[in-house]
Formats: sequence, C-alpha cells, structure tokens
Amino acid sequence: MEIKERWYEGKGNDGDVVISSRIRLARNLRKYPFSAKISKEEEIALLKDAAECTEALEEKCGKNFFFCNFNSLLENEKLAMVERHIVSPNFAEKDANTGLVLSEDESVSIMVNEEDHLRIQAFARGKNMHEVYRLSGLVDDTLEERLGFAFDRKYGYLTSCPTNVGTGLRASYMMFLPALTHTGNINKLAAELAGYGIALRGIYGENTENIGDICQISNQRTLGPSEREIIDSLDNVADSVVAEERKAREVLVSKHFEEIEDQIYRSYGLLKYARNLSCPDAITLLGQVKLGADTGILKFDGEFEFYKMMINIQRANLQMLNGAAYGNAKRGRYRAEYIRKNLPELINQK
Amino acid sequence: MLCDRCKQREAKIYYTEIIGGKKKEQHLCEECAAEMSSFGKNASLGSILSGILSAAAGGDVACEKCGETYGEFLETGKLGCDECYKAFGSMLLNSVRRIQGSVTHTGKIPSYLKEEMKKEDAEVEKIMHLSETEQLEIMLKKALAEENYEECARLRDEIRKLKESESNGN
Repeated sequence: MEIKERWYEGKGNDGDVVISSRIRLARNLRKYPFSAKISKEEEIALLKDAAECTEALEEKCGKNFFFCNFNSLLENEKLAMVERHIVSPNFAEKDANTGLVLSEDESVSIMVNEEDHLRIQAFARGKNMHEVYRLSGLVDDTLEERLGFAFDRKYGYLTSCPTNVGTGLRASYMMFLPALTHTGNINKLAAELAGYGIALRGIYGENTENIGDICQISNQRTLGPSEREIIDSLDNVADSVVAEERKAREVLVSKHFEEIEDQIYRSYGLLKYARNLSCPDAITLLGQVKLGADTGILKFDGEFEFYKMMINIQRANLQMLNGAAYGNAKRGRYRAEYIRKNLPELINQK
Repeated sequence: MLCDRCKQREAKIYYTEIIGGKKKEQHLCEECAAEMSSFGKNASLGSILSGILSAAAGGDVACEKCGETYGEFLETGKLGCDECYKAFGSMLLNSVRRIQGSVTHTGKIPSYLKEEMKKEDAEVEKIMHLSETEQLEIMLKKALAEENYEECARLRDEIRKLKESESNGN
C-alpha cells in the first residue's frame, strides 16, 4: 500500500530546534459516565457516535478521515501508532472498546474511550501552534455540535481527572536540544520552565528518558488561563528556549569546532556504513547528523528528514515498512539498511 | 547553602512557584529542581493525586448519578461522571485549587452555551433598563408561574409601596 504524505514530511518553522507542535484536548460526552464508571454497552455506543462524525469532519477540515476499532488491531500496528504519537502508550495497552478516528495525513487523531471519552490531537511540523490550535478547534466544534460535551460554567470542560479540567488543553512542542543537553544546562532549564508552569520531559511523554537530545515542553495547568493565554505563554517560553539553544550551539561550535566536526563526521560515517544498528544508537547518531546539517558542517545533495527517519527506524514502524516480523538481530540489520538508503549523500566537502 | 528539598546537594536554583496568588520560595539543587518541574516522573498520577488530595476528609460522600464515592476518587484520582464535580462540592473545589492554582475557567465555551448565555445577557440588559416597579412586576409574574405564593405576596407589597411613594412624590 502506498502511504500518502504525512504531516511531518517537509520543512517547518524554526525546524533546527522545534521538531513539531501538538495540541491535545480532553473531552467527555454529557450522555455517558466517565471512563471509570462507563459500561461495556456505553463504550460501544460511544464508538458508534464517534464513527458517525467522520463525514462531518471531512467536510469541516478538508481531509480524509478513517475510523477503526483500535483494540482489534494487531499489536504491531498499535505500537507503530504509539511510535508515531498518534495514540498514547496507555491507550494502546488499555483493555476496553477503544476506537480511533484518524485523518489520512495523520495530522488529526481522536482516541475514543481513553481516560476521557475523546482525546483530540492535532499536529504540525516545526513551530506552528496557532495553526494546530485552529485545526483542533475545528475538530472540537464539529464533534461538540453532534455529541454535546460535559461542561460547567465554573470548571469549564469536565474531565475524568481534575488535572485536565477547564480547557482540557495540553499544548506541547517537541524540541531538539543537543547543545543545551551537552553543556549540562537541561536540568537548570527544566527548573526555570517549571517556574512558568511548563514541564520539560522525554519524548514519549511521562516515564521516559530523553533519547537523542529530544525533549517535549508543555503546559502543566489547564484551568484558569484561556487557551490563547496558555498557548501564548508556551510560545514565549519556546522562543526563548530556541534562542538559548542556538546560542549554546554557536558557543559549542566556535569553542570546540574540531572536536564537534569530528564527532559529526564520525556519526555520519557510522550511519552510512554500519550493518547493524540499535534504535537508541541510531537516534543518537541521527541527532548528531542533524546538528551537523543545522550548523552547516554537513551539506547534503537531498533533504535530510530527521523526524521521518527517527520514526521509521523504530521497532514497529520498521517492521511495518518491511512487512514482516523478525528478531532483534535481524531488525538491527534492516534498520542499518533503511538508514543507508535514506541518508542523503554529502556534497563538495573538503 | 544546602538544597531545601534533599538537604544534601548545594542549592543553585532559586525556585519560586505561585499558585492561586500564594508565593512559595525554595532554594533547590539542580536535580531536585528538575524533578519538581517534571512533576513526579516516576510516580503514577493516581498516587501523586491521592497524596495531594488526602488532606481532605469526607470519603463516604457519594455521587447520586454514578455512585462514585469521594473515597474512590481519592484512591484513583478519577471522577465517575460530570455530576461528581457538583456532588463532591467544596472538597473537590479545594483539591482542584491545589492542583490547578485556580478554579475558574476563562477559556472556550461550547456554542450551545454561548447562545444560552447571550440570551441571558440580553435579558439582564433588558431588565436593567426598566424601572424598579417594572422589574418587580416581571419577578412577580415569574413567582406566580412557579406558584411561589410567599414570594408573590412579598413582591406585591413592595410594588404597592413603590407605587404609593411614586404617587406621593408626584
């Protein structure tokens, strides 16, 4: 099957530091109890309600939408969607009648029967939160009109857990911060951001380590400030993180040029010629190559699509690309082969 | 100076948190500050929540709609339905304030409610422009419709008094 272009293919704003922008909205229907008290019959009725909205979503958003019973997918298909951030790890493991509404370009996903009835997500590459908010808003309005959401004049949108009540909105930027990580400033940054009510964590949400110098920053509180205020303050923080990271890269490159240059070329060489690569190693090396591309140390004859490669070399997605299941050793070989094929060639380097 | 939290490493960061208008200041080491900011990376949300929430009592209060008790909520951190927010009243309100630093939504409103609120605003606006007697007459009509005869009597008296003073004034 040919896969159409996904939202993350191509270049985004401030793409040297900001990989992607994401919004998540937590919504519950008035007519059913929340997930802690919902019956199996009501779960199934909710799936039907959500599935019936796809046509209206297509009309409003101008994208193709699909619905599927998520819990009946194969384990590998589920995991591949976790790796692409379409669904949360908790959702993939949840023992319930879970459903998924997904746009063809994967820029909109709606998890059905998550911790809340609906978890609407929208994505864009680079730094583009206002566009993502517009898109998530279109989806929200379309669903609200048909399904009727639980809302209280005081508390706002009512959610299963009070940590999400109010706007139900979690806005996050995925950021590539190699210089701030290498200079040991990432903990200090996390502490500073906390003072603004903003959390900094590893890429796959809670409970994960920071792989390949990639972090996520997001708002912690959902009640009190309006959506616009939440997004504006996250944007301000993101802008200054971008500036700090660029400054740190400049210092790093100017002070330690030879060391950094050597490291970047070694990483490129490994990726280009290795025959067996583990996933964390590959992501770390790809990060080095991205740093090389961003700082102009490496010049390519084609587009170097860091995020796309990072997604495609992960276990389940790699397996989907190759259309077969295999063990660890074989997977390492497939991963190395994929990278050799997709890493662009260098041009005119002295 | 040693870190206020772990009391082992040297404090390097001056950490200020403002929740609900109350300022809390601490001197922290980098590790503790990072942990504070990532909000309990290794603990499950349920256990963090019950830590925050357990200060409140009243575990046997139950929601009439879904049957969830406040005790269940403390254990799982999850509410059973939209009515739970009303059923658990001020206990929940205090918890929400502790978690969110605020209890008042100022953001987006669903479109059906927007229409409703617009109508209410228009009504309030209309009433504001009426004389006091006219306002009371509207309230009287409403009380009559609701068969609230005590309120009717009270309003009738007030209207009579107002009319008397008006005619005296003229």
